[in-house]
Amino acid sequence: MDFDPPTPVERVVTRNRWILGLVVLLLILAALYYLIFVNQYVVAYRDDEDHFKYGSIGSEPANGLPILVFKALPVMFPDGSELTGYRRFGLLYESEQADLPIGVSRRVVDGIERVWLNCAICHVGTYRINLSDQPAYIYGAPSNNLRLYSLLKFFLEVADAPNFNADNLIEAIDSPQVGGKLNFVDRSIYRYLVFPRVQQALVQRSQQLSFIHRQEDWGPGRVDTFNPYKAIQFNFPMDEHHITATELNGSADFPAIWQQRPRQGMHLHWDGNNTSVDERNLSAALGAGVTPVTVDMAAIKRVRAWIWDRPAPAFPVASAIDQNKVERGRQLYAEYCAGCHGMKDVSGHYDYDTNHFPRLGQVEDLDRIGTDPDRWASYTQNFSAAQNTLYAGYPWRFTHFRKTAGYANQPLDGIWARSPYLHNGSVPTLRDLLEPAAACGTVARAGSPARPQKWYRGSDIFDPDKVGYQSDGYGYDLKDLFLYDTCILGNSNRGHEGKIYGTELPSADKDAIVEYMKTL
Amino acid sequence: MAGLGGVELHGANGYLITQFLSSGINDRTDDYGGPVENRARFVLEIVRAIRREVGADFHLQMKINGVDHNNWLYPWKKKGNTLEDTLTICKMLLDDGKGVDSFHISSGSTFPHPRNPPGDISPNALTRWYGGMLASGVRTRFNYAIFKSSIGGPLFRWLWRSRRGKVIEGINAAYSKYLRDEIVKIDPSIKFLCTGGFQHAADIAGVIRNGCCDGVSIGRPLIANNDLPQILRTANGPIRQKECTYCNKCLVNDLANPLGCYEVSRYDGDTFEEKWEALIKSVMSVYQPPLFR
Repeated sequence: MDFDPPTPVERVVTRNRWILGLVVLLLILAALYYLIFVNQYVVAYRDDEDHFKYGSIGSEPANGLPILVFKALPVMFPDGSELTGYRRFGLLYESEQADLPIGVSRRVVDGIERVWLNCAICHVGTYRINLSDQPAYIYGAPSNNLRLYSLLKFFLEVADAPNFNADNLIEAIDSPQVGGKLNFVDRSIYRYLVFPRVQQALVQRSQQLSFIHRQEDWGPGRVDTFNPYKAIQFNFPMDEHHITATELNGSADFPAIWQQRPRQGMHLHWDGNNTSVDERNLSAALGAGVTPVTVDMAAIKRVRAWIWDRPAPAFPVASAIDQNKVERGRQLYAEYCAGCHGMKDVSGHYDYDTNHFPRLGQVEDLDRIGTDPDRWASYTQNFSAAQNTLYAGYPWRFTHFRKTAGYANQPLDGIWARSPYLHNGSVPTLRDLLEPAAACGTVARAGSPARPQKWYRGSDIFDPDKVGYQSDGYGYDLKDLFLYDTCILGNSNRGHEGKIYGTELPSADKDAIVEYMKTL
Repeated sequence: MAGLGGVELHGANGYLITQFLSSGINDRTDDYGGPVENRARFVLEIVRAIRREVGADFHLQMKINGVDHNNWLYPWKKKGNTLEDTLTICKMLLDDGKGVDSFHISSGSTFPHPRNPPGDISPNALTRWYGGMLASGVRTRFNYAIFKSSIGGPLFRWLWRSRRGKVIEGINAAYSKYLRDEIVKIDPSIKFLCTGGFQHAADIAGVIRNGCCDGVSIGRPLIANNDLPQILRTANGPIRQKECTYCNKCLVNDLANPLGCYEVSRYDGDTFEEKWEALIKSVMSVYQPPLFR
């Protein structure tokens, strides 16, 4: 028998207390839910350059890997080289102890810190003048080091690797190279939540991107811009029946991204498919793993502001410019090149005025420019139409994408830092570009210089005379470089040649043009 | 004129006299505070004033704490008088044979105190009946919040019982024994009463026989069983169900309700409602016969 039952008042007070407790508990749970699963947390960088290098643009929520998994994968699947982390794919670590390379950003999503790519992964180049130099970084230059094809393949192979399992993953995370120090709760989370989701996502990606096994290796500093885009954004069928080998092998060089203000209104992308810098930026962000829902507009806008007026870098070895030839080069350049590419005015500023240079920023027909058509072929009418549905529902919905008839002319500001040349990066130096291409299957005749047919990509040693990265393997172990064969589909170095392109000028004139171009 | 045979000064349990006697409470800086002789000055002057009025034959006794245990709740408070302090005071109160005639030994320098009345404390009952006190003290609202809290209440109850210790019946017997032994050496005519949970004949007889005291005083067991003295003539104590349980619900209830026993289990009845009826009848019986018509 209960000798002390509650009075009616006490019953009500107790019940109210329970209700209040429940409401408070629900509020706390709601707040926790919001703080952990709704809110996302990024590192904010005070410096715009740091934001460009490491700031998140919103690729992590849909495509990011948990940071410890990201760090563990190269440890689980080494390739025998001494290069640790993702260095073997050409990613740049600012120091030996750097946590993450340039171009990899972090964001806490659903309580887990994830990493993925940002603009800087493809738009930071390095150069060395002497073998013993430390690499100098050029922010905004096309990446000459990034082996994006190998990196992508690496993730896809991880998905199918039989030894990619929770035990090995946890062991790799706890290893000294990663230093995860997982406690018992963390290990369970990684085993039962993180690993299955990562594996599932990688397998799905692997199936989506299985076509890359049918492609030629893009090589360092090059990317197949649009085929992965077709598969990931639009689930286009990528099998042999729906896509030709030509369309499949349209890899292109990375571009420089400085001085965007004067480029607004020009035909952007190698084939000039968009005249809006903002649309081009958002589209490129999709290439980094952003989705229309997860894009961090404020972060992108910050990068946009940073590249809007960013000056092109000056030639690094002023002493290597033969001032005697520069004036002759300027005259020849004005006659042969400036009409399509613009040039510096008398005050030394690059003149982007399309009233002065009517072909600047315009598209040249394929048969007029004559360069490798595969990049042009990979950008299809269907794809362009599909692109114009992206970001639907937002004010920045794409509307400017068009299929064009060829490739667009670009300003050559900071051109020294943008080797290799032509849209598909098939010509290593400016001097080589002024020679004609040799036909595949033939050997260049002695005394008739031609563009190199097979040469080595991936070097960052700069040749200040011919202007471009060394392509003969100087200073490197050849197995660390990529042998680029211009006779493979998509790699052709023909085009942009002939009388009006200066390839029939005398050698001294060609040298002079190169000297002048060093000043751009 | 009232026909009283004697008076007792209540110098125990935190009332005015204790507030002078206790080193834990008295913080005066004049002649009435400081060393024990000063602290006892007040009650000594009272005793002498009474004697001046009633003469040497009138029975005058002093209720006093054996030990104060002043720091039972807040450990940073001073612990108050020790047994030695009390002995000194008692000797002073003998006043060379002109002072008090007997002592009544209790303990605990606050009221209530875990040792006085020794027993349990019911946070439920406190929550129901302490409300009337809220305007009367500085910390009453804080106290009430503790009693009412689902954590604070049980915690307070645990503290109360742990400060009391295991013994209830005869909790002050040892203090009384010591003091009686010492005082009787000085003046064998001085008598000692002891209080604290006495209910059973064996315990009462025991403390008298082994010289702890000459008699005991009983409070709550008499509320529980008004006819306790009759019961003790023939039995060791009341039947189990009817014993005083020292639950102290009488104490807490009398903040707002008629004094009586409020322990439901002690009453007859097969259901809670029957027992409750019996309880109400019992506590309301104090109003019968009515004082006024």
